[in-house]
Amino acid sequence: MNTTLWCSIGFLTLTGCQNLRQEVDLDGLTQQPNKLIVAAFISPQDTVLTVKVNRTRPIQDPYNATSGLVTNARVTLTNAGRSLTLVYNTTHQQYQADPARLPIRSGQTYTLTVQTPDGLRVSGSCTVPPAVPVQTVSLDSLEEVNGNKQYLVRLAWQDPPRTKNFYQPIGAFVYLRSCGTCSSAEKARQRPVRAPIPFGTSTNLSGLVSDDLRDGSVLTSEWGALRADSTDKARSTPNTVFRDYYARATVTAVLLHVDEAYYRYHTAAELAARYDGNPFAEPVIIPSNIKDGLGCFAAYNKSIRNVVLKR
Amino acid sequence: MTYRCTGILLLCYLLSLPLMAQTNRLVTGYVLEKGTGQALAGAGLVVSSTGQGTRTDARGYFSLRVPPSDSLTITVTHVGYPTTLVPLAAYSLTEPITILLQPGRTLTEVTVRPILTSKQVGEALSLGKISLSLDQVRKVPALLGEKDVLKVIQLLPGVQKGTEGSTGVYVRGGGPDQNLILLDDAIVYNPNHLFGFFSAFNGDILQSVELTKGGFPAQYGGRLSSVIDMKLKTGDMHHLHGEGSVGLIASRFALEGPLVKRRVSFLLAGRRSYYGLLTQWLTPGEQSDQIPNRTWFHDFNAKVDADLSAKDHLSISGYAGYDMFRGQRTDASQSYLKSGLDWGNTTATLRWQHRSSSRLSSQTALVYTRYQLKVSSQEAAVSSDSAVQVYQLKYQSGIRDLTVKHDWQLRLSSNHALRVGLRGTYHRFTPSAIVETNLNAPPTSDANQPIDVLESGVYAEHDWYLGRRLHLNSGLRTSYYLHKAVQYVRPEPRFSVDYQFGKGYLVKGSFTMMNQYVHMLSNTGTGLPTDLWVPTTDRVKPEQAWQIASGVGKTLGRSAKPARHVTVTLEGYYKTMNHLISYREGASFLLPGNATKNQKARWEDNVTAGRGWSSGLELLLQKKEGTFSGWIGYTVSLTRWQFPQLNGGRPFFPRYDRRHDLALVGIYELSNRIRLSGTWVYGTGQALTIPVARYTLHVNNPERGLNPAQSVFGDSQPVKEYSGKNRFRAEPYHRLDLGVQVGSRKNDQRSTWEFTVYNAYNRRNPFFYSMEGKVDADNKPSRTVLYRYSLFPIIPTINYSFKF
Repeated sequence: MNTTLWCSIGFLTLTGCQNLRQEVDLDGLTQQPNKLIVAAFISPQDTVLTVKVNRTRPIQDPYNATSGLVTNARVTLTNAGRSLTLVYNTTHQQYQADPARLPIRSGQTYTLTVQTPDGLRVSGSCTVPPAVPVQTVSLDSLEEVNGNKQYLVRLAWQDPPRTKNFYQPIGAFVYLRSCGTCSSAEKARQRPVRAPIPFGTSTNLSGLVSDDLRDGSVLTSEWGALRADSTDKARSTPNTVFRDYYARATVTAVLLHVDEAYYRYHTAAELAARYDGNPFAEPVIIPSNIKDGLGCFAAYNKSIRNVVLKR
Repeated sequence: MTYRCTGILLLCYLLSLPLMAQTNRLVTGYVLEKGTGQALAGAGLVVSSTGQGTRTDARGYFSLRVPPSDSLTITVTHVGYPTTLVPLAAYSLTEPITILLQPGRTLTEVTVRPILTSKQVGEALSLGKISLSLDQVRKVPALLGEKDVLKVIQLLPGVQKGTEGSTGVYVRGGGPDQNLILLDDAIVYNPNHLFGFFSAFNGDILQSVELTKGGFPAQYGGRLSSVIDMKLKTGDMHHLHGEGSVGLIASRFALEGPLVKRRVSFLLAGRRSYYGLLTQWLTPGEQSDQIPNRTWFHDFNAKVDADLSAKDHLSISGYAGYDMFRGQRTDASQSYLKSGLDWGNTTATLRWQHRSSSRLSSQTALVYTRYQLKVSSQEAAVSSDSAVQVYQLKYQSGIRDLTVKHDWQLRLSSNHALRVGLRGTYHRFTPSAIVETNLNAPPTSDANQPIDVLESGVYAEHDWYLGRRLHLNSGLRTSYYLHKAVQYVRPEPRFSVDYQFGKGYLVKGSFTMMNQYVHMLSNTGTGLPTDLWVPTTDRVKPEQAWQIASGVGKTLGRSAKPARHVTVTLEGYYKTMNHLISYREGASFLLPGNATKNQKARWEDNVTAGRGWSSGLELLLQKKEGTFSGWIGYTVSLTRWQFPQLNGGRPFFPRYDRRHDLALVGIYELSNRIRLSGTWVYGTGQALTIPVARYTLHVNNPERGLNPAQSVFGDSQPVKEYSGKNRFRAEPYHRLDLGVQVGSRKNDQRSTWEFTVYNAYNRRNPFFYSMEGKVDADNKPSRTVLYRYSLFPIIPTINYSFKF
């Protein structure tokens, strides 16, 4: 009896110690049809119209940056009965066309259609929002722990009421370096340096703003720091007084009034990049406004305001 | 205005209750367990000829009006005890009578065969509410021999389990945070040990466990989906007893007895795992790349009961449970890595029960609850200048409650009973606090200030028996919530009706509205301690649900003892839930950092709100007593959620939506010494989010707004396509457990050997899925494959328990 019992327990233990990790092949995962992915962002200020077209690759397939590139699609942009076909540019791996042939105008709705020779056809539409002017550009300074001052800039604008609005503030700090020892000829040869002003935060790198819960009010960007360009070899040292660093400087404040698809797509893309691979984070599903496909066809409009800084 | 309306509503409700004249004799007394003198709360007493009845209170006390007749018989029922018929002629009714029920013994069948009353049928059919037989809990085979009330609750219809082995309880489409889990009136926020594989409750010392999943009595509130009310038993006032068990993973021991004979008793119980000792022995030492585990859990219960007088009873009970995980890695240099994860619940309850008269009794309780989670990591590294840099991270979150409760029970007549009460809870939440310390630099902290909130409720509830067949239960609860300037007053009407017809048929319907002011954020839903409790604030609204349920039941069998009958119930429900909260896509339990440069990040930045619907049909076929007992529970249900900010605003199935759920439980008494038992469970797979494809995502380059010469598109990134949230169905879960108990008895000492086989046919049930790269042979390029990770293969267990 005892022998039988212990043999049984031994058998059960041995059978139990098999591999608890098993590869599974489930229907629905391997049977996924590939889809077209379209990315295009248009604005009235465009100098070239561009569209990226890719295909999805099944999750189990090897993957690299050029996987799924689509080079032979027919890409058409239409508006009010007029249409424009975009041509593939091998160098930039994108479809493009001259906007002069189909101008992008505020308030107009555009439809983008992509069709491949193997029968895939996707489309998307967007309406170009009006430009929202930058109302004020505020400057401020902050004394850091080490005694240095940090100079900050912020945009404000009036949100149009009773509509959902989304924005992306951007800016540039354009300066001519101060050079006390330079000759007049050297000064004449100086070119202005352009440094981006980051209006994003650690959780919102792109600085996108929604008017949710603040509809119709004056909205502001985050504070963006004025810094010398990272490629400027003569950057100020910690002991430099920043305002002595430049001879002339301008802040270029740009407000992109973007549509909802743009806002949601870019917000999700940033989350996906940040949390990919984190087992505790919820998966990020990238929203799409492309019918029968994936991606984003969105529009935005730009307003600009320059502020010359006093020394 | 809202307060006034609610007050008037409550007053109108109270005034509308009918007051009935009294004409019959009054019988009072106690129902106790034979041998131990343990008071049996919730025992049902029914006058067989009239159908009038009552239930015992927490002290086992009852009062019952009976007609002036000498040949009356009272039928006494209680879960886990044989049904007993008590002829009143044997008692002098001028004094309180004592009725003794013997556990686990079947009394001789009596020849009287009364017609089952609506109360008896209602109790036998248990629509919306199930009293768990702790005797059956001890007989059902369990993982590693650890008997667990929550895992037996998972076998009931309308209740679904979480992942493999976990104690997560999902009731009628609700999440695990929607269960009000009470241990002696104290809320237990994390009812898990060892990442949810074992519950925090020691089944040996529980007196009763009741699950309510619909038709909630007005005394309960604060959760949307269920109430699991557990009471610790009272220590034996007469004799010293002990019981314990030695298992593969843990051992437990309980001792009870009198401190002052017949007046004051004590109960002490402890449980300690030695899983950590095993892993410590099996894993390598500290000089290794592996991080050895130092893991254990323990819990302690203590209770003192005192009969201060014939009318007053005082009890003090406490619970402390703690889980601890430690890891350490050290190499030859001075570098090391230490990590820790600890969590624990502490509760304490002071309760005073007072009986003013045979009709009026009251209960006052003062309750303390605390739940705390700590994650710590300390790393030392040798820098290039040979200095040792020590970096330390501590994460802490928790909740602490102080509650005052008061209840009155008034028996207006044998047909009318009224319960009125109030509760007030002061919560203090610490949603998260992160402290980073570099011993060579000043510490930085990212702690949220504690959040203090007040949650309270006042209720009135009325039971009305109209004749032998109809029973109405109506109530109104008004909840009040205050957090800074945020306050809510919400009335919660409750109503249920049951009607007996034909021979042993019962039909029941109920409507309830519930509000929930505290919420749990969960990434995994598996009961991991990273689940975070958070309050309602200015940005997060209270969750609200209403539920309608209706069912029909039938008792089959001719025995006079309802527990020996086979009962069949079929119950359907529909529930809507508003303002449910969930993590936003991409969010995690650790705060992401500062939301803006001007203001501190708030946990609300991580959450989003939505609504949900659940409907289902539940079938229960049950036999509580006899040589062969057990039940079949089957549920077909559909739960959907819709959140504007999740899944593109489209409805989706929550992780624990389960179309089919089946449990078969059988217990067979082979002889007086040998008992066989088995369970088989089947459930539709969980709804999960799994990527199906990959693609390159292109974003706009906003810099083009500054310089048109710049590239149109920003940096591309590879992303995964999920085809929708929770669109992937895991493989179905099914498992067979078998058990044999062999008992022996010598004088007053009993011992039992138990052999259990968990997952008897070694099914590889999914615990989680993972996409991983795989390199095939022949130098083929690597490909991504889906792996299923299972947790428990077939596990044989031997367990020894004893009782004296």
